[in-house]
Amino acid sequence: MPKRVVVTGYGAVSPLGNTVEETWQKLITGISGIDYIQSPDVASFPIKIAGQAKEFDPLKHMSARTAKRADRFAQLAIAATAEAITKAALKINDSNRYETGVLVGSGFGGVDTMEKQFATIASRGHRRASPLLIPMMIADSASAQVSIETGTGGINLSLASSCSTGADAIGLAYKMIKHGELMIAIAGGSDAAITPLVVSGFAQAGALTRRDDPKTASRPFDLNRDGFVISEGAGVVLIEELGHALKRSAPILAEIGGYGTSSDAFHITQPHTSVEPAAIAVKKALEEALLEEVSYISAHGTSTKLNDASETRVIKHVFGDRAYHIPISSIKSMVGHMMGAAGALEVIACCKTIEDGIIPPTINLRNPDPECDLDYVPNKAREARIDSTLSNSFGFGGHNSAIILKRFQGQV
Amino acid sequence: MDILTELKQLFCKINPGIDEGKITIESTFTEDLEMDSLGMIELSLEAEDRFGVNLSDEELSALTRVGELAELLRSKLGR
Repeated sequence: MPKRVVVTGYGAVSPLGNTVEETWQKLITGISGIDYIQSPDVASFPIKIAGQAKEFDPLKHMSARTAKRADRFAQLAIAATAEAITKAALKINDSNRYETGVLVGSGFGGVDTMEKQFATIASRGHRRASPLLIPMMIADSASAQVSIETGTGGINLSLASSCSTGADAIGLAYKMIKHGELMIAIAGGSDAAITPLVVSGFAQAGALTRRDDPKTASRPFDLNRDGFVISEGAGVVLIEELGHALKRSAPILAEIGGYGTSSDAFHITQPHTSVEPAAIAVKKALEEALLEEVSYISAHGTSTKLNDASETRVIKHVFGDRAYHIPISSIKSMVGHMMGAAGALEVIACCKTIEDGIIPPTINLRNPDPECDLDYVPNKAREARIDSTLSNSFGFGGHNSAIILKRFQGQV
Repeated sequence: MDILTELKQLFCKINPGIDEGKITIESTFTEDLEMDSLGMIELSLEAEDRFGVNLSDEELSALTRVGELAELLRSKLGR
Protein backbone atom coordinates (compact mmCIF):
# COMPACT_ATOMS: atom_id res chain seq x y z
CA MET A 1 0.00 0.00 0.00
CA PRO A 2 1.63 3.28 -1.09
CA LYS A 3 2.10 5.83 1.68
CA ARG A 4 1.02 9.45 1.57
CA VAL A 5 3.86 11.95 1.77
CA VAL A 6 3.67 15.43 3.28
CA VAL A 7 5.89 18.47 3.53
CA THR A 8 6.50 19.39 7.15
CA GLY A 9 9.39 21.82 6.85
CA TYR A 10 11.51 23.83 4.47
CA GLY A 11 14.57 26.03 4.44
CA ALA A 12 16.30 28.18 1.87
CA VAL A 13 19.15 30.55 1.29
CA SER A 14 18.65 32.70 -1.79
CA PRO A 15 19.68 36.03 -3.28
CA LEU A 16 16.62 37.41 -1.46
CA GLY A 17 17.49 36.21 2.02
CA ASN A 18 18.77 33.59 4.41
CA THR A 19 15.41 32.00 5.19
CA VAL A 20 12.27 30.94 3.36
CA GLU A 21 10.25 33.69 5.07
CA GLU A 22 12.64 36.48 4.05
CA THR A 23 12.78 35.15 0.52
CA TRP A 24 9.03 34.68 0.31
CA GLN A 25 8.14 38.16 1.56
CA LYS A 26 10.33 39.68 -1.14
CA LEU A 27 8.98 37.30 -3.79
CA ILE A 28 5.41 38.37 -3.17
CA THR A 29 6.46 42.00 -3.11
CA GLY A 30 8.08 41.60 -6.52
CA ILE A 31 11.62 42.46 -5.42
CA SER A 32 14.62 41.35 -7.44
CA GLY A 33 17.63 39.80 -5.70
CA ILE A 34 19.89 40.26 -8.72
CA ASP A 35 22.75 42.71 -8.32
CA TYR A 36 26.23 43.56 -9.53
CA ILE A 37 28.69 40.75 -8.79
CA GLN A 38 30.61 41.30 -5.57
CA SER A 39 33.79 39.28 -5.77
CA PRO A 40 37.49 39.94 -5.40
CA ASP A 41 38.06 38.56 -8.90
CA VAL A 42 35.12 40.32 -10.56
CA ALA A 43 37.41 41.35 -13.43
CA SER A 44 37.67 37.71 -14.48
CA PHE A 45 33.92 37.43 -15.12
CA PRO A 46 32.47 37.98 -18.58
CA ILE A 47 29.30 39.42 -17.02
CA LYS A 48 28.59 42.03 -14.37
CA ILE A 49 25.42 40.73 -12.68
CA ALA A 50 24.33 37.66 -10.73
CA GLY A 51 22.13 36.55 -7.88
CA GLN A 52 24.48 36.16 -4.95
CA ALA A 53 23.43 35.14 -1.46
CA LYS A 54 25.10 38.28 -0.21
CA GLU A 55 23.89 38.24 3.38
CA PHE A 56 24.90 34.63 4.00
CA ASP A 57 27.32 34.18 6.91
CA PRO A 58 28.23 30.51 7.34
CA LEU A 59 29.33 31.05 10.95
CA LYS A 60 25.73 31.80 11.92
CA HIS A 61 24.77 28.30 10.82
CA MET A 62 27.67 25.97 11.65
CA SER A 63 30.93 25.72 13.56
CA ALA A 64 33.99 27.46 12.19
CA ARG A 65 35.61 24.07 11.70
CA THR A 66 32.70 22.78 9.61
CA ALA A 67 32.58 26.01 7.61
CA LYS A 68 36.29 25.82 6.83
CA ARG A 69 35.95 22.27 5.58
CA ALA A 70 32.86 22.83 3.42
CA ASP A 71 32.62 24.46 0.01
CA ARG A 72 30.07 27.27 -0.16
CA PHE A 73 27.47 25.04 -1.84
CA ALA A 74 27.65 22.65 1.12
CA GLN A 75 27.48 25.53 3.60
CA LEU A 76 24.30 26.78 1.92
CA ALA A 77 22.78 23.29 2.11
CA ILE A 78 23.65 22.95 5.80
CA ALA A 79 21.96 26.28 6.57
CA ALA A 80 18.81 25.47 4.57
CA THR A 81 18.58 22.06 6.23
CA ALA A 82 18.82 23.51 9.72
CA GLU A 83 15.93 25.83 8.94
CA ALA A 84 13.83 22.98 7.52
CA ILE A 85 14.39 20.77 10.55
CA THR A 86 13.50 23.61 12.92
CA LYS A 87 10.36 24.42 10.94
CA ALA A 88 9.33 20.76 11.06
CA ALA A 89 10.13 20.56 14.79
CA LEU A 90 11.91 17.30 14.04
CA LYS A 91 14.42 15.63 16.36
CA ILE A 92 16.70 13.18 14.61
CA ASN A 93 17.78 10.58 17.15
CA ASP A 94 18.24 6.85 17.63
CA SER A 95 14.51 6.23 17.21
CA ASN A 96 14.36 7.53 13.62
CA ARG A 97 17.97 7.93 12.42
CA TYR A 98 18.04 4.99 9.99
CA GLU A 99 14.62 5.85 8.56
CA THR A 100 15.76 9.37 7.70
CA GLY A 101 17.56 10.00 4.43
CA VAL A 102 19.32 12.89 2.77
CA LEU A 103 18.89 13.53 -0.96
CA VAL A 104 20.53 16.87 -1.61
CA GLY A 105 21.83 17.34 -5.13
CA SER A 106 23.95 19.88 -6.89
CA GLY A 107 24.51 20.82 -10.49
CA PHE A 108 28.15 21.73 -9.97
CA GLY A 109 29.43 20.54 -6.61
CA GLY A 110 32.41 22.31 -5.09
CA VAL A 111 33.47 24.12 -8.22
CA ASP A 112 34.71 27.19 -6.31
CA THR A 113 37.12 25.01 -4.33
CA MET A 114 38.20 23.26 -7.50
CA GLU A 115 39.01 26.50 -9.32
CA LYS A 116 40.95 27.99 -6.43
CA GLN A 117 42.92 24.81 -5.86
CA PHE A 118 43.66 24.47 -9.55
CA ALA A 119 45.11 27.97 -9.51
CA THR A 120 47.28 27.03 -6.51
CA ILE A 121 48.57 23.89 -8.22
CA ALA A 122 49.20 25.73 -11.48
CA SER A 123 51.28 28.37 -9.74
CA ARG A 124 52.94 26.40 -6.93
CA GLY A 125 52.86 22.74 -7.95
CA HIS A 126 50.86 19.69 -6.97
CA ARG A 127 52.44 19.39 -3.52
CA ARG A 128 50.55 22.52 -2.53
CA ALA A 129 47.10 20.97 -3.08
CA SER A 130 45.03 21.15 0.08
CA PRO A 131 44.12 17.84 1.73
CA LEU A 132 40.63 19.35 1.89
CA LEU A 133 40.41 19.73 -1.90
CA ILE A 134 38.60 16.45 -2.57
CA PRO A 135 36.31 16.43 0.47
CA MET A 136 35.22 19.97 -0.38
CA MET A 137 34.99 19.57 -4.14
CA ILE A 138 33.24 16.25 -4.65
CA ALA A 139 29.66 16.47 -5.84
CA ASP A 140 28.23 14.62 -2.84
CA SER A 141 29.80 16.84 -0.22
CA ALA A 142 26.61 18.83 0.48
CA SER A 143 24.54 15.71 1.18
CA ALA A 144 27.44 14.22 3.15
CA GLN A 145 27.91 17.34 5.27
CA VAL A 146 24.16 17.61 5.84
CA SER A 147 24.08 14.02 7.08
CA ILE A 148 27.07 14.60 9.36
CA GLU A 149 25.54 17.77 10.79
CA THR A 150 22.10 16.26 11.38
CA GLY A 151 22.92 12.67 12.24
CA THR A 152 20.75 10.98 9.60
CA GLY A 153 21.48 7.30 8.99
CA GLY A 154 19.35 6.42 5.97
CA ILE A 155 20.27 6.86 2.32
CA ASN A 156 22.73 9.72 1.75
CA LEU A 157 22.61 10.62 -1.92
CA SER A 158 23.62 13.49 -4.10
CA LEU A 159 22.22 13.56 -7.59
CA ALA A 160 22.75 15.80 -10.56
CA SER A 161 20.28 16.59 -13.31
CA SER A 162 21.46 20.10 -14.05
CA CYS A 163 18.73 22.69 -13.57
CA SER A 164 16.18 20.10 -12.44
CA THR A 165 18.41 18.67 -9.69
CA GLY A 166 16.46 20.12 -6.76
CA ALA A 167 13.13 18.94 -8.14
CA ASP A 168 14.46 15.45 -8.85
CA ALA A 169 15.94 15.15 -5.36
CA ILE A 170 12.54 15.99 -3.85
CA GLY A 171 10.74 13.76 -6.34
CA LEU A 172 12.94 10.74 -5.66
CA ALA A 173 12.74 11.25 -1.91
CA TYR A 174 8.96 11.40 -2.26
CA LYS A 175 8.94 8.11 -4.19
CA MET A 176 11.14 6.44 -1.57
CA ILE A 177 8.81 7.43 1.25
CA LYS A 178 5.74 6.55 -0.80
CA HIS A 179 7.06 3.05 -1.31
CA GLY A 180 8.18 2.51 2.25
CA GLU A 181 11.95 2.85 1.84
CA LEU A 182 12.19 5.85 4.13
CA MET A 183 10.05 7.55 6.75
CA ILE A 184 11.61 11.02 6.59
CA ALA A 185 13.75 12.78 3.98
CA ILE A 186 15.80 15.93 3.80
CA ALA A 187 15.64 16.72 0.10
CA GLY A 188 16.60 19.54 -2.22
CA GLY A 189 19.45 21.14 -4.07
CA SER A 190 22.30 23.52 -3.61
CA ASP A 191 24.70 25.37 -5.87
CA ALA A 192 27.32 28.08 -5.49
CA ALA A 193 28.74 28.24 -8.98
CA ILE A 194 29.11 31.96 -9.63
CA THR A 195 32.75 31.35 -10.45
CA PRO A 196 34.92 32.55 -13.34
CA LEU A 197 35.00 29.09 -14.95
CA VAL A 198 31.28 28.34 -14.79
CA VAL A 199 30.16 31.83 -15.73
CA SER A 200 32.58 31.93 -18.67
CA GLY A 201 31.27 28.59 -19.85
CA PHE A 202 27.63 29.63 -19.66
CA ALA A 203 28.40 32.91 -21.38
CA GLN A 204 30.21 31.14 -24.23
CA ALA A 205 27.28 28.75 -24.60
CA GLY A 206 25.02 31.78 -25.12
CA ALA A 207 22.82 30.94 -22.15
CA LEU A 208 23.30 34.10 -20.06
CA THR A 209 21.58 37.42 -20.54
CA ARG A 210 23.78 40.16 -21.95
CA ARG A 211 21.84 42.82 -20.10
CA ASP A 212 23.67 44.69 -17.39
CA ASP A 213 20.83 46.27 -15.43
CA PRO A 214 20.53 43.78 -12.58
CA LYS A 215 16.92 44.42 -11.60
CA THR A 216 15.43 44.00 -15.06
CA ALA A 217 17.78 41.47 -16.66
CA SER A 218 15.79 38.35 -15.80
CA ARG A 219 12.51 38.69 -17.69
CA PRO A 220 10.85 35.33 -18.25
CA PHE A 221 8.21 35.25 -21.00
CA ASP A 222 8.95 38.85 -22.01
CA LEU A 223 9.50 39.49 -25.71
CA ASN A 224 12.91 41.01 -25.01
CA ARG A 225 14.29 38.22 -22.83
CA ASP A 226 17.75 37.11 -23.90
CA GLY A 227 19.07 34.59 -21.38
CA PHE A 228 19.13 33.71 -17.70
CA VAL A 229 20.89 35.29 -14.74
CA ILE A 230 23.09 32.87 -12.81
CA SER A 231 22.40 32.70 -9.08
CA GLU A 232 23.38 30.70 -6.06
CA GLY A 233 21.53 29.28 -3.09
CA ALA A 234 20.01 26.22 -1.53
CA GLY A 235 16.49 24.92 -1.06
CA VAL A 236 15.65 21.99 1.18
CA VAL A 237 12.33 20.44 2.16
CA LEU A 238 11.64 18.10 5.02
CA ILE A 239 9.13 15.51 3.85
CA GLU A 240 7.73 12.56 5.71
CA GLU A 241 5.22 9.77 5.68
CA LEU A 242 1.80 11.13 6.64
CA GLY A 243 1.21 8.77 9.58
CA HIS A 244 4.59 9.63 11.01
CA ALA A 245 3.89 13.35 10.70
CA LEU A 246 0.47 13.03 12.32
CA LYS A 247 1.80 10.90 15.15
CA ARG A 248 4.30 13.51 16.17
CA SER A 249 1.88 16.42 15.52
CA ALA A 250 4.17 17.94 12.92
CA PRO A 251 3.03 21.01 10.98
CA ILE A 252 1.65 19.71 7.67
CA LEU A 253 2.27 22.36 5.04
CA ALA A 254 1.22 20.48 1.91
CA GLU A 255 0.97 17.00 0.48
CA ILE A 256 3.08 15.80 -2.42
CA GLY A 257 0.64 14.58 -5.02
CA GLY A 258 2.86 13.36 -7.81
CA TYR A 259 6.22 13.41 -9.53
CA GLY A 260 6.88 12.72 -13.19
CA THR A 261 10.07 12.67 -15.22
CA SER A 262 11.23 12.11 -18.76
CA SER A 263 14.27 12.64 -20.93
CA ASP A 264 14.37 14.48 -24.25
CA ALA A 265 17.12 12.29 -25.74
CA PHE A 266 17.66 15.14 -28.13
CA HIS A 267 20.24 17.88 -27.43
CA ILE A 268 22.71 18.71 -24.66
CA THR A 269 21.47 22.27 -24.16
CA GLN A 270 18.33 22.90 -26.19
CA PRO A 271 14.83 21.81 -25.26
CA HIS A 272 13.23 19.31 -27.62
CA THR A 273 11.45 20.86 -30.60
CA SER A 274 8.55 18.50 -29.83
CA VAL A 275 6.41 19.12 -26.75
CA GLU A 276 6.02 15.41 -26.18
CA PRO A 277 8.88 14.53 -23.78
CA ALA A 278 8.29 17.40 -21.35
CA ALA A 279 4.52 16.92 -21.58
CA ILE A 280 4.95 13.29 -20.59
CA ALA A 281 6.71 14.29 -17.39
CA VAL A 282 3.87 16.65 -16.50
CA LYS A 283 1.20 14.09 -17.41
CA LYS A 284 2.84 11.41 -15.26
CA ALA A 285 2.81 13.77 -12.29
CA LEU A 286 -0.85 14.69 -12.90
CA GLU A 287 -1.86 11.04 -13.21
CA GLU A 288 -0.13 10.14 -9.98
CA ALA A 289 -1.85 13.07 -8.25
CA LEU A 290 -5.23 12.05 -9.75
CA LEU A 291 -5.63 15.56 -11.16
CA GLU A 292 -6.48 16.92 -14.58
CA GLU A 293 -5.55 20.48 -13.81
CA VAL A 294 -3.88 22.55 -11.12
CA SER A 295 -4.59 25.93 -9.58
CA TYR A 296 -1.07 27.31 -10.08
CA ILE A 297 2.02 26.50 -12.17
CA SER A 298 5.48 27.48 -11.00
CA ALA A 299 7.23 27.66 -14.35
CA HIS A 300 10.80 26.70 -15.01
CA GLY A 301 10.75 30.07 -16.82
CA THR A 302 14.46 30.75 -17.17
CA SER A 303 14.21 33.89 -19.35
CA THR A 304 15.90 32.21 -22.30
CA LYS A 305 14.29 32.53 -25.72
CA LEU A 306 13.97 28.78 -26.14
CA ASN A 307 12.84 27.63 -22.71
CA ASP A 308 10.00 30.06 -22.15
CA ALA A 309 8.45 29.52 -25.57
CA SER A 310 8.85 25.77 -25.39
CA GLU A 311 7.50 25.57 -21.83
CA THR A 312 4.46 27.59 -22.90
CA ARG A 313 3.80 25.12 -25.72
CA VAL A 314 4.14 22.20 -23.27
CA ILE A 315 1.63 23.74 -20.84
CA LYS A 316 -0.86 24.34 -23.68
CA HIS A 317 -0.38 20.81 -24.96
CA VAL A 318 -1.04 19.28 -21.54
CA PHE A 319 -3.93 21.48 -20.41
CA GLY A 320 -5.50 22.52 -23.71
CA ASP A 321 -7.77 25.56 -23.48
CA ARG A 322 -7.68 25.40 -19.69
CA ALA A 323 -4.04 26.51 -19.89
CA TYR A 324 -5.27 30.07 -20.46
CA HIS A 325 -7.01 30.09 -17.08
CA ILE A 326 -4.18 28.74 -14.92
CA PRO A 327 -1.97 31.37 -13.29
CA ILE A 328 1.69 30.69 -14.06
CA SER A 329 4.73 32.52 -12.73
CA SER A 330 8.48 32.30 -12.73
CA ILE A 331 10.24 33.30 -9.52
CA LYS A 332 13.46 33.25 -11.56
CA SER A 333 12.41 36.75 -12.59
CA MET A 334 13.39 37.73 -9.02
CA VAL A 335 15.96 35.21 -7.77
CA GLY A 336 17.57 34.38 -11.11
CA HIS A 337 18.54 30.81 -11.86
CA MET A 338 19.80 29.08 -8.73
CA MET A 339 20.94 26.09 -10.79
CA GLY A 340 20.53 22.84 -8.82
CA ALA A 341 18.68 24.70 -6.07
CA ALA A 342 16.13 26.29 -8.41
CA GLY A 343 13.66 23.41 -8.55
CA ALA A 344 13.75 23.00 -4.79
CA LEU A 345 13.07 26.67 -4.07
CA GLU A 346 10.24 26.55 -6.61
CA VAL A 347 8.63 23.62 -4.79
CA ILE A 348 8.92 25.62 -1.57
CA ALA A 349 7.30 28.61 -3.29
CA CYS A 350 4.43 26.33 -4.38
CA CYS A 351 4.00 25.26 -0.78
CA LYS A 352 3.83 28.90 0.27
CA THR A 353 1.21 29.75 -2.36
CA ILE A 354 -1.01 27.01 -0.91
CA GLU A 355 -0.38 28.16 2.67
CA ASP A 356 -0.72 31.90 2.14
CA GLY A 357 -3.12 32.10 -0.82
CA ILE A 358 -0.91 34.42 -2.79
CA ILE A 359 0.88 33.89 -6.09
CA PRO A 360 4.32 35.46 -6.58
CA PRO A 361 4.52 37.47 -9.81
CA THR A 362 6.68 37.21 -12.89
CA ILE A 363 8.42 40.59 -12.73
CA ASN A 364 9.90 42.46 -15.70
CA LEU A 365 7.14 41.21 -17.96
CA ARG A 366 6.46 44.45 -19.87
CA ASN A 367 6.34 43.42 -23.53
CA PRO A 368 4.36 40.25 -24.03
CA ASP A 369 5.79 37.73 -26.48
CA PRO A 370 3.10 36.49 -28.92
CA GLU A 371 4.58 33.01 -28.46
CA CYS A 372 4.05 33.27 -24.70
CA ASP A 373 0.38 34.18 -24.39
CA LEU A 374 -0.69 32.59 -21.09
CA ASP A 375 -1.38 34.22 -17.73
CA TYR A 376 2.07 34.70 -16.18
CA VAL A 377 0.86 36.85 -13.27
CA PRO A 378 2.82 39.83 -14.58
CA ASN A 379 4.63 42.18 -12.23
CA LYS A 380 2.29 42.03 -9.27
CA ALA A 381 1.44 39.25 -6.84
CA ARG A 382 -2.11 37.96 -6.90
CA GLU A 383 -4.30 36.63 -4.12
CA ALA A 384 -6.03 33.35 -4.89
CA ARG A 385 -6.97 30.17 -3.12
CA ILE A 386 -4.55 27.54 -4.36
CA ASP A 387 -5.36 23.89 -3.79
CA SER A 388 -2.86 22.28 -6.14
CA THR A 389 0.39 23.34 -7.78
CA LEU A 390 2.63 22.09 -10.53
CA SER A 391 6.33 22.93 -10.51
CA ASN A 392 8.18 22.39 -13.78
CA SER A 393 11.93 21.89 -13.99
CA PHE A 394 13.94 21.32 -17.13
CA GLY A 395 17.68 20.83 -17.24
CA PHE A 396 20.56 20.97 -19.70
CA GLY A 397 20.84 17.43 -20.97
CA GLY A 398 17.09 17.04 -21.57
CA HIS A 399 15.91 16.37 -18.00
CA ASN A 400 12.20 17.08 -17.54
CA SER A 401 10.65 16.94 -14.08
CA ALA A 402 7.30 17.89 -12.68
CA ILE A 403 6.18 17.91 -9.06
CA ILE A 404 2.64 18.39 -7.85
CA LEU A 405 1.70 19.62 -4.40
CA LYS A 406 -1.81 19.57 -2.99
CA ARG A 407 -3.40 21.27 -0.07
CA PHE A 408 -3.45 18.73 2.75
CA GLN A 409 -7.05 17.59 3.17
CA GLY A 410 -6.69 15.31 6.18
CA GLN A 411 -7.43 11.61 6.21
CA VAL A 412 -9.27 10.45 3.11
CA MET B 1 57.83 35.83 17.49
CA ASP B 2 58.60 32.59 19.31
CA ILE B 3 57.76 29.26 17.80
CA LEU B 4 54.98 28.46 20.26
CA THR B 5 53.14 31.71 19.46
CA GLU B 6 53.45 31.01 15.76
CA LEU B 7 52.22 27.45 16.25
CA LYS B 8 49.18 28.69 18.15
CA GLN B 9 48.23 30.92 15.22
CA LEU B 10 48.83 28.10 12.83
CA PHE B 11 46.59 25.66 14.71
CA CYS B 12 43.84 28.27 14.84
CA LYS B 13 44.10 28.68 11.10
CA ILE B 14 43.81 24.95 10.54
CA ASN B 15 41.00 24.51 13.05
CA PRO B 16 39.23 27.84 13.54
CA GLY B 17 36.99 26.31 16.20
CA ILE B 18 39.68 26.03 18.87
CA ASP B 19 40.50 28.53 21.59
CA GLU B 20 43.99 29.91 21.08
CA GLY B 21 44.32 30.73 24.79
CA LYS B 22 43.98 27.06 25.69
CA ILE B 23 46.84 25.84 23.49
CA THR B 24 49.93 24.95 25.52
CA ILE B 25 53.02 22.80 24.97
CA GLU B 26 51.08 20.03 26.70
CA SER B 27 48.12 20.13 24.26
CA THR B 28 47.66 16.93 22.30
CA PHE B 29 46.98 17.01 18.58
CA THR B 30 44.10 14.57 18.43
CA GLU B 31 42.18 15.30 21.65
CA ASP B 32 42.89 18.94 22.48
CA LEU B 33 43.32 20.35 18.98
CA GLU B 34 40.92 17.96 17.20
CA MET B 35 43.45 17.29 14.46
CA ASP B 36 42.54 14.43 12.15
CA SER B 37 44.56 13.01 9.25
CA LEU B 38 43.47 15.90 6.98
CA GLY B 39 44.45 18.43 9.62
CA MET B 40 47.90 16.89 10.01
CA ILE B 41 48.55 17.26 6.28
CA GLU B 42 47.41 20.88 6.45
CA LEU B 43 49.84 21.27 9.34
CA SER B 44 52.78 20.11 7.25
CA LEU B 45 51.81 22.47 4.39
CA GLU B 46 51.34 25.43 6.74
CA ALA B 47 54.61 24.72 8.55
CA GLU B 48 56.41 24.61 5.25
CA ASP B 49 54.95 27.99 4.28
CA ARG B 50 55.57 29.62 7.63
CA PHE B 51 58.92 28.16 8.68
CA GLY B 52 60.34 27.03 5.36
CA VAL B 53 61.00 23.50 6.62
CA ASN B 54 59.74 20.15 5.45
CA LEU B 55 57.96 17.91 7.92
CA SER B 56 57.70 14.35 6.67
CA ASP B 57 54.73 12.09 7.38
CA GLU B 58 57.02 9.95 9.57
CA GLU B 59 58.13 12.93 11.62
CA LEU B 60 54.57 14.16 12.09
CA SER B 61 53.11 10.80 12.98
CA ALA B 62 55.70 10.39 15.74
CA LEU B 63 54.37 13.52 17.51
CA THR B 64 51.53 13.71 20.03
CA ARG B 65 51.94 17.10 21.74
CA VAL B 66 52.47 20.69 20.65
CA GLY B 67 55.71 20.92 22.67
CA GLU B 68 57.24 18.05 20.67
CA LEU B 69 56.44 19.83 17.42
CA ALA B 70 57.96 23.06 18.75
CA GLU B 71 61.16 21.14 19.66
CA LEU B 72 61.34 19.50 16.24
CA LEU B 73 60.95 22.88 14.51
CA ARG B 74 63.59 24.50 16.76
CA SER B 75 66.08 21.80 15.90
CA LYS B 76 65.33 22.10 12.18
CA LEU B 77 65.61 25.86 12.28
CA GLY B 78 68.69 25.82 14.47
CA ARG B 79 67.07 28.15 17.00
